[in-house]
Amino acid sequence: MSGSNRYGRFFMQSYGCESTHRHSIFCIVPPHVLREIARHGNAAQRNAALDTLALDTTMRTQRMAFQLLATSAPRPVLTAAAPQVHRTIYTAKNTQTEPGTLVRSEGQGASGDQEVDEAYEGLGSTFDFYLQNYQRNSIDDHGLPLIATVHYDKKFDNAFWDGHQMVFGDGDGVIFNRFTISLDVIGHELTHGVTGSEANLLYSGQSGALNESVSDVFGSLVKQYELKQTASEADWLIGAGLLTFKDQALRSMKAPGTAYDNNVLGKDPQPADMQHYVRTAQDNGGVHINSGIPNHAFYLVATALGGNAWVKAGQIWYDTIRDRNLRRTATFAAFAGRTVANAKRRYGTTSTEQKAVADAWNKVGVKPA
Amino acid sequence: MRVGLALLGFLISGTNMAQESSQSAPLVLKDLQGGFAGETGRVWTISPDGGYTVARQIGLKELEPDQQGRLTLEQWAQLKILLDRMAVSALPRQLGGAPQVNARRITLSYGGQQSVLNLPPAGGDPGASRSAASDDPTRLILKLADDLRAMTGN
Repeated sequence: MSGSNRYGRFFMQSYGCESTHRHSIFCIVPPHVLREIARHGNAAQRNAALDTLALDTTMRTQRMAFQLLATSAPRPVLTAAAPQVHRTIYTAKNTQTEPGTLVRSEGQGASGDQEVDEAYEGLGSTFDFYLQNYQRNSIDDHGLPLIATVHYDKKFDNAFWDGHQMVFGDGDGVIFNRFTISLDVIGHELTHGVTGSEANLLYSGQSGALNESVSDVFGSLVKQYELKQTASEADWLIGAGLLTFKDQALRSMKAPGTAYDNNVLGKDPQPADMQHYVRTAQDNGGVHINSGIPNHAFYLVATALGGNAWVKAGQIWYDTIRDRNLRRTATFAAFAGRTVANAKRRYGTTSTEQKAVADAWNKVGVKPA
Repeated sequence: MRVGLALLGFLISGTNMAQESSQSAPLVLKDLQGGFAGETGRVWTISPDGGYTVARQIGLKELEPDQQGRLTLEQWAQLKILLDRMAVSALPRQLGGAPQVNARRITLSYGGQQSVLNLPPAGGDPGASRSAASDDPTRLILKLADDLRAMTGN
């Protein structure tokens, strides 16, 4: 059962709601009660209440709109509440418990726990990035509260979005540092949530590699936006500072295959072009490997256009993951075709932007379909 | 008397296991969690003589084993019972549905067969899987992973 459904069902059971609907919003629990539960309930109750509040706001707005449209009276202008980030950070205390024990809620000051505070700031930076640049209200564009668990498991060497919340490991301290250390880790993982609610690219083969690449692209852009860097100033590294090896990262969008080279992990296996596409049964067909190809295409577009990469190149990629003509089984060629089409639509058929996109895919050996 | 019979039974069972497994490749179980760093986790390799190694995997790279040892005869017997119940050769190649972002994935390779169990991130609801029917392949693979973790102290 997915996390949100799990909490939704818990909430319905806990509050006596008899319903077969997917979400607990159909319960007759007023928002002020939900807010009280969010403040004073236990962890599971709090999560359920936050989920319900987020969905409830959307539904109430829609319901009001429908009611207004149904009348012939003059229609007042609807003004939705300004999008607002809502962060909650938990600690698993080095167990595999999710979400764990509440440590920091929205608006509270620093906790003094480095990972808690980095996660809190990183969630906020990612929320701001999407809102300020693409007018996206959180992961689902409906104000989804952002939840994270830090100190997950013992020496856990990863971080992931579980479909409902973020989970961060401490790293082993030998190969990996803590996973909250790099802002692009947080931007990358939250973008899986964005992709999941938009193109929902199938996590296998080329569409899976595109899913990974989109997360790398926006993870990098979140970092560049935070640092106010231009495309030429950015390092285009993914996970810089995460590895304990000096000056090494997990992936490079500028030069895939060069992010790391050491005696423990060996050499970065990412290809930069189709000629070196890696065929493997592991990793769902190499989704973390072949993402190097579309990653490099994005880097080429961004540096060709210059300026801040999130403004034009990022906008074209964002338009593409929201493009209803992009299928969830898209190949590199199909995705490339949609980026060219979106560049044309937004900037014009003979535009510099459209040409930069087409040229970039050509350089990595992908012919836009 | 009962202990003696049990020991005799175990030795016979152990002999059969040794004979069977001497003709087969090692049992390899990978328990990996997808995430930012690709798939990371641990790999258990049990050779036909009961020797084992445990190594970490990071992305496509399996690191040098950081732990090694030998299973006791009792542990061998426990594994044998479980593997017999699993009928590894009859396990589906894919269990648990389509691949999803940041899945937990358990891969069992044994006797020339391979079976991959896809679970939700962090394993989803292990209680539900573990309370499935006793011959449910998902439950058996999860039990094998749990047993190996316990036997090797991970």
